[in-house]
Amino acid sequence: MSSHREAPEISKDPVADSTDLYAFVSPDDPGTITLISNYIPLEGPAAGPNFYEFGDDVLYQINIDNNGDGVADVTYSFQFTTTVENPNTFLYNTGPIASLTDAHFNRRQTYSVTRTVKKKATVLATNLPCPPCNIGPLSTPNYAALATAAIQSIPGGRTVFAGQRAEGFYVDLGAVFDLGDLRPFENLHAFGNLPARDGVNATAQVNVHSIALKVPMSDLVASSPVIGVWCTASRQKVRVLDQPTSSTSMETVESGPFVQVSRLGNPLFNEVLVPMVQKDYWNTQSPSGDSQFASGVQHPELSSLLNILYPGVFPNLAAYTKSRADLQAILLTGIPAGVVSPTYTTFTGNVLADMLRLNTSQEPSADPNVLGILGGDVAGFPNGRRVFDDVFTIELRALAGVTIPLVDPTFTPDGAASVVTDGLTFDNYLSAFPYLGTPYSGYNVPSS
Amino acid sequence: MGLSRRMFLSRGTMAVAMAGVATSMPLLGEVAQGPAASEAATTASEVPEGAQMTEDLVAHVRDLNTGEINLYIGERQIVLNDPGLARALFQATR
Repeated sequence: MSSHREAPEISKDPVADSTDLYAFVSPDDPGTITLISNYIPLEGPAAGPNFYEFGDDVLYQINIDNNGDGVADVTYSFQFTTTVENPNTFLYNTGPIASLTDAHFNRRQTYSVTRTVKKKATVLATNLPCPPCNIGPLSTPNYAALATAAIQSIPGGRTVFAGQRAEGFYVDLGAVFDLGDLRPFENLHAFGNLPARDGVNATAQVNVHSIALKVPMSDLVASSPVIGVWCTASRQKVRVLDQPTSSTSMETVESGPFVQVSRLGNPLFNEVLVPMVQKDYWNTQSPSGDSQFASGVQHPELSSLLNILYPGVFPNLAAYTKSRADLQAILLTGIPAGVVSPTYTTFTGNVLADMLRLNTSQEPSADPNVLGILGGDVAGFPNGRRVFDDVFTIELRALAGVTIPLVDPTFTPDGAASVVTDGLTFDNYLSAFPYLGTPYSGYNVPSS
Repeated sequence: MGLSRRMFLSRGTMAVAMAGVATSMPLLGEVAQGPAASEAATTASEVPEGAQMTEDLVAHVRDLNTGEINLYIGERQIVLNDPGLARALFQATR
């Protein structure tokens, strides 16, 4: 969850909280692009009697800009409907769930997919099934098969999935937000006297709800091979909690246009580059207006804190007062050709917009490196984002100054900048769509 | 057929048409301007006796002086400027 609970108000609305966005050329189907948007952070696997589900009253969208103006040219919209087969039981399932239509599967969700281009919306599919949550060996004995059955082919050569998956983002959340503690380096921390130790993945055994979409490149790409992607969640403007008229009808009124309450482009943008009092406002904005947030990128607070939190470790970074043109390129415009190499580019233009930029002409790497561009892998973040990319370490090292020489050859990064990390690895992924691993079951987590 | 959770929610227009049918999905936050105050009374009289609402209608009086009233129905928002109506609604709360 590179953007989980990142703003005060959205942290109280997990069903609409976008947590991660991935965009990459499908490694097993290179003529297609996979887009994955995740919501509902930090799902503990053991969750009954009501299990996690998408919001019927939330409009989930994946937006694509293919002409560099920070405005969506193509939008995929997803809306969900929950049904209860047996209103007389308190149970989510009344027996083992052997299929998506099993009579024991009591509380189900279905969804529709709509594609909008230039304000014209086309419904691609309706009544698509979500799999149940992964409960345990008695309720969901063959969970992988249930999830596979929920992978749907829809018109236009597209593939879609919506449902629970294992969290793919890995981060030592507990330490990082404990005054920027990086466990492998905490012996150097200004406020502690702790020995260095391995990082702890706080998201190791939690789940998330994913909307995954695989589409032909022609669905998204216009004249430039570089696209910008961001996901959003929206709610209707008005909600009235009316008096129930019966025991089964809550009469909640939701009315008016949809209002965006969450968005996500690059990982960790709203998390660490936007002041707390602006984070919820940031969530309501379109990427085309992100010049208003540029100062947080050009002079990031976290970079200024590194030498304070780790005294003497980042002296060169501490002395560097110029605007961070490297971070602006990585996060707000894309990197022009000629900076990294003559051919590497994620540049969409001069409009400052937080979008996850993907150069669709870059083939998937045969030997991926989780450090993406910092590991010499041009098919990884910040050229799109694959499910296994270590975006925390990549961005931390960038903030620590390792990318400044791309735009300012006079700067020498501190030695620590190229080694700083929270010290984690993770490998619960699939090699095929939807690429995120099988979600953890409540029976197994926590383990006995 | 199962009991839909949408029966618990607004009767507002969140459903979409059959697959493959092109429709116009409203842009987020689109707002329409309602009739002028002088027209409102006239058009109200055109609503036939016994007419039924198929969607919930919510009114939000934003400014008593300008008479700005936001109306929410379905996925739409209509802005009225009717100081007389705004005052009448406010009077009803006193």
